[in-house]
Amino acid sequence: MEFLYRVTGRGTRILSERCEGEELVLTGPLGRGFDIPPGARRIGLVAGGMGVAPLTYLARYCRERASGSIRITTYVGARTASALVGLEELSALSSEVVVTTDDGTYGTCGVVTAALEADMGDLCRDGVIFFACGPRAMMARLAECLIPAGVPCQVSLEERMACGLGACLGCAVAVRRGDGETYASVCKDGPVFPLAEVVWEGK
Amino acid sequence: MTADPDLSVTIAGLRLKNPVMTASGTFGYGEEYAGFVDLGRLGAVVVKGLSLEPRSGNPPPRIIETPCGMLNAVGLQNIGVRSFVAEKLPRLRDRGVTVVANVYGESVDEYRRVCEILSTALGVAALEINVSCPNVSKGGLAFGSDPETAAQVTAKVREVTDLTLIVKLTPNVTDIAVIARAVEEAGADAVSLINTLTGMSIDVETKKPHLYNVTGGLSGPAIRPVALRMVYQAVRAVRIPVIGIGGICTANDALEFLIAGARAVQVGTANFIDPKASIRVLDGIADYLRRHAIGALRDLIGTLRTPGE
Repeated sequence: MEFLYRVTGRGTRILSERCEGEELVLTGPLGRGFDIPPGARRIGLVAGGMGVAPLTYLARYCRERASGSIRITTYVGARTASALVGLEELSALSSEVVVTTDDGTYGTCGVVTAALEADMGDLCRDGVIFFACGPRAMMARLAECLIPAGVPCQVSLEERMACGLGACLGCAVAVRRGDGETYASVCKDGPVFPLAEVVWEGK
Repeated sequence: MTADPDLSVTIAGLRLKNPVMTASGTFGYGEEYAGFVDLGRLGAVVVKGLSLEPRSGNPPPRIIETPCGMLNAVGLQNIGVRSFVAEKLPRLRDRGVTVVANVYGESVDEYRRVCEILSTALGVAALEINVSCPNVSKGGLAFGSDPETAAQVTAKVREVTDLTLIVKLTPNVTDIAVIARAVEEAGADAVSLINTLTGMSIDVETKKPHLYNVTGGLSGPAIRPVALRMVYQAVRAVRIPVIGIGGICTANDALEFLIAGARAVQVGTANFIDPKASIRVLDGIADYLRRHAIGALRDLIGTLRTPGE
C-alpha cells in the first residue's frame, strides 16, 4: 500500500518519521470515491498541487480496468517547479500531459485551468469525463468552465476533519440538494462530489 | 479476584449497565460508530443535540486542532427531533442501545416542545438538556450562564417529562456550584459537566480566525484538569448525581472523575482520535476494579482522599 501526502503539520510529520516495518492503525476506506462509468474511453484529469495523489491512483485504475483503448488527458498545475510531485508516474499513465506553473519555472506559465480552457473544443467533441482535485480556487474556476459546457466532472475535496465517520460534522461543504442548499460531510458524503453539486460561490 | 466487577450505576431512576457514555456531538446518532463499537455494551449513547426543526449549522471552517485538543463551531447542525425519532431511534432500539437524547432550543418553548416529542417516543432513556452550547449567538450561552434562566428551562422541561432529566452545564461561568444548585432546585435529576470552554485561534499568515464563527468550543485533554475541578466542586454542591465530561481519553482519566465523585462519565473528543475509545475506557475501568479487588464500581465513586482526611 502506498500513500502520497504532503507534510503540513504535526500529524503528517509524525507519519513521515515512521520507518518501514512499523505498524500503524488505519481506519478506512472511508466515504465515497470517484464513480467511473464502465464504458469511459476519454478521460480528463485536472490536478492542482497535491491533487495529483488521488488522480494518479485513478489513472492507474482506469488503465488496468480498460479492456480496449482509453485516452487520458492530464492537466497538472503547481505553484513552482519544486512543488511538482509524482509527475513521472502520472505522465506514464496519461496519453498526454500539460503542465503549468504559476511562476513559469516548469511547463507553461500560468494556471492549469487556462491551459484546459484552450483545449476545451477538442475535449468536448470526444465526450470526455473529467476528474479533478486541487485548491478550491482551481475547482471554482473549473466549475465556471465545465458546467456551462455541459461537461461532466467529479471533484475530490479537502477539509479539516476530526472523525472521518460523519459524526463530528467538522468537514462541512455547502452543496445543492433539490431546490435548496445544505451542508454535506466531506468525509462521509464525499470526498468526491459532482462538480455541479458543490456551491462554489461565496467563502 | 477473578469475578467480573459490578459496573452498574444508577442515575436517578435510570440504571446503566456501566458508567461509560459517549458525549453529545462526538458520536453522531450512534450508528456512525456501529462498525467499531458494540453500542449495546456502552452505559449509554448520548446523541447529537436535537432541535425542533433541522439546523444546517455554521459555514466552514468549523474545526481546528489546538494543543492537546480542538476547537469546534459546528453550530448544532442536526436533522431535527422528528427525523431523529422516525429514522435514527428505531435503529438504536434494535441494537439494544441505552439512548440519552441531547436537547437544544433557542427558546424555553422550543426546549419544551422537543422534550415533549422525545418523552412520547419509544426508546429514549433520558434527556440531556444542553443549556451550554457557546456557538450560537442567540440563546445557548445565556441560558446556561445565568442561574435563573438555567433554572427556568429546567423547570419548564420538568413539567413535560417523566424521563430522567440531565442538565449539561457550561464551564463558562464564575461559580459552577451556583448554577448546579439552581438546576437541582428546579427539578433536574442529574447534572453533566463540562461542555466546551470558549476559545479562539488565529492564522497569523492570513490574519483570519481559523473558524468561520471566529470563536469555538475547546474540547479534548487540554480541558480535563478544568473539568475535573468543576466536577469536584459540583459534587460537593448538589445531592443529585454528577456526570463527568471533559477530555476523558483513557480509563485512568475516567477513574479520576469517578473518584472525585462523578456517578458516570462521558467520552467525547477521544472518539475522534480512536473510534473505540469508549470501549477501551470501559474495559480499563473493569481491569482497575479487578486489580484493586473492588467488587462494585459504586464503592469507588467519591472515594477521593484529600489532605487531612
